[in-house]
Amino acid sequence: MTLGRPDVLIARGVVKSYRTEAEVVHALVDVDVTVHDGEFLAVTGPSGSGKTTLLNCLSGLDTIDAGSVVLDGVDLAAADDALRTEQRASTMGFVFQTANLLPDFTALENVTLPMVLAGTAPKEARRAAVAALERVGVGHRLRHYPSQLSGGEQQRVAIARAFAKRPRIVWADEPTGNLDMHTADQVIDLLRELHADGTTLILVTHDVGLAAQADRGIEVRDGRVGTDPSNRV
Amino acid sequence: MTLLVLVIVSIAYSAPLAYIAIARPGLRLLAFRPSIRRPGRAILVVSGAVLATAIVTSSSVLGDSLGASIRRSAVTQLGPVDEEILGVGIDRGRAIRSAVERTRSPDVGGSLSLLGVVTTVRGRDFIPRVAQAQVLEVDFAAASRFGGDPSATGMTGPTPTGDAAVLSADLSNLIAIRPRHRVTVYAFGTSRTFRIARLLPRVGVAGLATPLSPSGSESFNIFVPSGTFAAMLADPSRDRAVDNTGIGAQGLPVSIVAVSNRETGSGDRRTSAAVTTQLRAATSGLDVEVHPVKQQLLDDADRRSRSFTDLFRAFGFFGAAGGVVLLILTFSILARDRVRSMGILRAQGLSRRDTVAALALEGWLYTIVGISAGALGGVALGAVALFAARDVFGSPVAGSVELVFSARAASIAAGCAIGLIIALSVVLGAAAIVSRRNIVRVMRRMDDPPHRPGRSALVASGAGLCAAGVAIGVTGITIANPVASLAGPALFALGVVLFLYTPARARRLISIASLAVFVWSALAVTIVRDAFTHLGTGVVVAVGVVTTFCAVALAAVNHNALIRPFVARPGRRAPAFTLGLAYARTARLRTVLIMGMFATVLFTLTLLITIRQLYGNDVRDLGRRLGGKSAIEIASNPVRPVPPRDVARLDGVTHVAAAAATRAQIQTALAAPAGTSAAGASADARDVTVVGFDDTFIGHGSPPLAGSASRRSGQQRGEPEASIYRTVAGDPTRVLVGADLDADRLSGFPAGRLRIGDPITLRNPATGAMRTLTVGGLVAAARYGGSDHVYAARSVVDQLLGTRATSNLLFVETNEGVNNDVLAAVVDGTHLANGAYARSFERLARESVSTRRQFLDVSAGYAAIGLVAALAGVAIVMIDRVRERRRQISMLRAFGCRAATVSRACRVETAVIALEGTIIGTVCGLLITWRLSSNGGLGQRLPFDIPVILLLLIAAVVVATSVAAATVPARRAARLEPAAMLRADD
Repeated sequence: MTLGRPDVLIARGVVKSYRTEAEVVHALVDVDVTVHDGEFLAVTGPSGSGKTTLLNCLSGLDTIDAGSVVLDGVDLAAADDALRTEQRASTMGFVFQTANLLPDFTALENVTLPMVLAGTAPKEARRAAVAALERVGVGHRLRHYPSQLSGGEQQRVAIARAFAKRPRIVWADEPTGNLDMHTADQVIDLLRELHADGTTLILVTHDVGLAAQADRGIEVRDGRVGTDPSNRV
Repeated sequence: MTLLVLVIVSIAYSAPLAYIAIARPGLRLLAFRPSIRRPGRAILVVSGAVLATAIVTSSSVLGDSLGASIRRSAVTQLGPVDEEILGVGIDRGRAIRSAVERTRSPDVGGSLSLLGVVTTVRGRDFIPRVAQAQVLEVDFAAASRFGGDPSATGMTGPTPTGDAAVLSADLSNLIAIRPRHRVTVYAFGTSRTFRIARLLPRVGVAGLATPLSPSGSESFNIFVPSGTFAAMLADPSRDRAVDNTGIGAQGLPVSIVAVSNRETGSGDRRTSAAVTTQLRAATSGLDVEVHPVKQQLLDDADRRSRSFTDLFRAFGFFGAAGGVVLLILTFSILARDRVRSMGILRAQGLSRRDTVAALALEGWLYTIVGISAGALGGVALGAVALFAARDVFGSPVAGSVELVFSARAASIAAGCAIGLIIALSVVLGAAAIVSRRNIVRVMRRMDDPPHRPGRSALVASGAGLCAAGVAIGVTGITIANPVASLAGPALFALGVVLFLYTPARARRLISIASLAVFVWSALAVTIVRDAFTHLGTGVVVAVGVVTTFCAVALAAVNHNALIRPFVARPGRRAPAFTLGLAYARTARLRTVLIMGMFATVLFTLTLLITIRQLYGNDVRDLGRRLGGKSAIEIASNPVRPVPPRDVARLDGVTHVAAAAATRAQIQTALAAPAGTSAAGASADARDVTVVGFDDTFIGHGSPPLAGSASRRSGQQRGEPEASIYRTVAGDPTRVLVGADLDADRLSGFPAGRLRIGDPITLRNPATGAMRTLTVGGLVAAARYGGSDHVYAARSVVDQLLGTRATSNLLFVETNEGVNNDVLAAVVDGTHLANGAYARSFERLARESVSTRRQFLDVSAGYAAIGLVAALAGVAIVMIDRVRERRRQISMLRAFGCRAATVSRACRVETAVIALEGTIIGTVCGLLITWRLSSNGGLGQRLPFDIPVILLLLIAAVVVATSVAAATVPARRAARLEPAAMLRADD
């Protein structure tokens, strides 16, 4: 616990390797990370350093070879797929570099559907989705399909999808990577605004300026984690 | 039972999905939305399901129709007639009917008296034609009342009087005469000429089939005025030189009493058996024969129906298999299509179970629509196939069956259930795989690394398969089972591959194993010869599946090496060609499936077409096998046979051998149900012509013996044919039967189950005289003129007839260069009074081969339905591949590749896959046909010949239509813009 805030995620000795045709790639080597509740953590590092792998492993999207990842009291490394899935559904939201929206569903359905599938009553899910979409500024695009939205609008819908269910932690992997500078600023402002409501935000980025806006930063280099020089916590 | 299981499994699949569709709105939305948003893809998947279900259902519908047609023709032919009581003599009817009435059986509904004789009739129109017919006397009014339903008797109009006669339509067609034409009946040493008053259909009493009838399934009947037989017998001018007064002599009329059961029409077996027993008891002292004719005819109909549908199903198997593969392809493509969406949702918290449920629900929706339309399509397809087969089944050899359409609800339900189960199994399997994929890789559109099973698992499963393969193979070889003989070694080879598997030696291992099994499947036809003597469903499917599977596996693992010569120097080839060849190497599993579809269909087509060619080439040899040295067979009236010396005097005739012939029912030990005596089990008896011969026949009319059979049995080894014939001629306990006695009636494919030393029983249906004989040898071919022939000592025929038989069958040798058909016509024309019916053996062979070839044509057409599945499969796969390669194609376009090049590359890829499949199927088909033909697997050794032009034409058509099937995806690929690669989503 730091500054009176409980730890929402504690990762210790995380190891992740990939086997390719030619070699074994050590993506993460003995990584220790702690994230505090309500914190805005920036994960930086050069391309191929292991930032995204770290996010995937800490969020339970991917499995790890060794170590432990305790999220909200649940050890994801020891949990089976069902428990990891339940954790993702109940406590996490994701924003990726590409919006990753379902092409056959409207903006509203893209936000509603994950909640309904997780067991939220359809009416309640819809109410939350509409509120989230209006908050991110695409309330006028509820019935539009992804192909009818601009890149920035798509990413706003993705953010609404991540925040609509009010998760404890949101993972954002290069959320502005595909956007122009103006739209990127809007997206970051939006993420900060939502984080201000108390959601823990973990942002993976190679943009030093963006990372500087975080409460704290860690740097991943060659699969190892060091403290970001810009760490202000 | 099978249907029940299918329905239960279908419900077990559908019920949870129906519940999910109602209770889980999120999953329902997830499953149903894509079909609304992307109707093109939905139509693609549904089309696959429609086509596959249609093919599977059509197979069942065809079976239903064949069975119903054959059974219907049997039922309508006899109408109200359930049993017949036969007694030789003109005045036996009254006594027999009195005995029937004395039974007071509640099951007996009525009886009808007739008089009949089988004799020679001659049509007198422009060209006189001669035939054997059943001449009947009956009171038409009584006959139409018989059984209570006049329409079921087929008897209309008054009883003919004076010089009028009424003819059955079958006889009218046979001797080409119509109402108002004249017909002459030769019987009892005299003749009578009648004018045809009208024709009657092959229904009920009008189509009366008796054990005396010249044809079991056709009605060659002529109804003459009452008192005709008595008048002819009393004719002072009749030739009394021939003794025809003995009991059972063919020259005496037979009193026939037809009995109708109360529960008639359904052919109820139990009622018929009970009535037959009662009638036998009531007539025990009358020296008559009681025949449960309807049950016999229905049993025969069922047997023929099974035989026909078995072969049709064998050739249609690959069509149905193509439909199944199409379903697998279609639904696996659907599942793959949904991978990314499911990955995105999995990241958002969708559970594996819900992933599977959502995909299964979507598949279920498409399947329900697809199988509903497919079932209708299958019914239509079955009707088309039936229409195409009507001539073959309408031929006399097939029993002149009039095909009627029949589609049982159970068959359609089974087709739907099979389609549903396969489709949903594929979807569930694919969904399970999708749900287990790495979410991160799925979202990044990356393939998962190949799954490598553990070494111990490979060794254990390999060892298990090896053990199972050895057990099945050894058992198969021991009991001469074709499926086990091939499946055992194939399993063993698969086990060896798994046992020794490492990625580094995979290609070599699979190549060696495939090649070994391929070679074995070709050699097994020779080594385990007995297993391959009956070309039925098991053999065709086993050989086809194993050889083509091995060849496809061999080609697939060596694909790169096979096409390397064509892509080695890309700069010197057209870019579309290079690109197309390179694409053909990708997506190996789908490529192999499509290639396999083409290969199996082409295997069947090649097999059928080549066998058809071999049969065609064999006409002359078959003529020689049927008649030995003689070129013409002359059958004549036993009462007044053609004198051999008359024929010997004709120009071009070098020798005439005489024999006695009579018709009898044969029962083999194979046909007799266990625990029944040969005499008692008359239900399985079949008509044959018994040729009674003596030493003068040997070396002239005697047909050659079956070489392969003699080697197999060992009894004839080294023994000259003449010696075997002499033994049989002098031994009334022996008989020679045709090696083709059990052969399929339409295709001529041999059964080869009767062996030397087996007992057979011959029975005169009119008198009940019976002889049990031992098979002393097998004649190479003895089926001609619509009848099987068996050869025995003359005394055997005497015993069957109960009198000394006359020489009513002549075998005529002629000089080289004589036109035997003309000579036969001369004999017919000059010996009409003797009821001469002369035919050259070459003509008999031609007729026999013609029906076989027609049947093979229809079978080939039916097998070709599988091609439709293959073409649809290739179209679907190409559409999928274009979608899959959208980014790649856009990139090529961005680099300057022309749209036409992309389109052509697509067509080249399709052509390569189709061509490979075609070559594999054709080579396998030729190889197996060659082995079968040279080992007697087609009944006799046939000189191998390849229908080169036809096969090349088929290959060209297959490749061309495949390329045409790829037109839509090729155009779609050409329309892709370079910017498309930058646009993300699906």
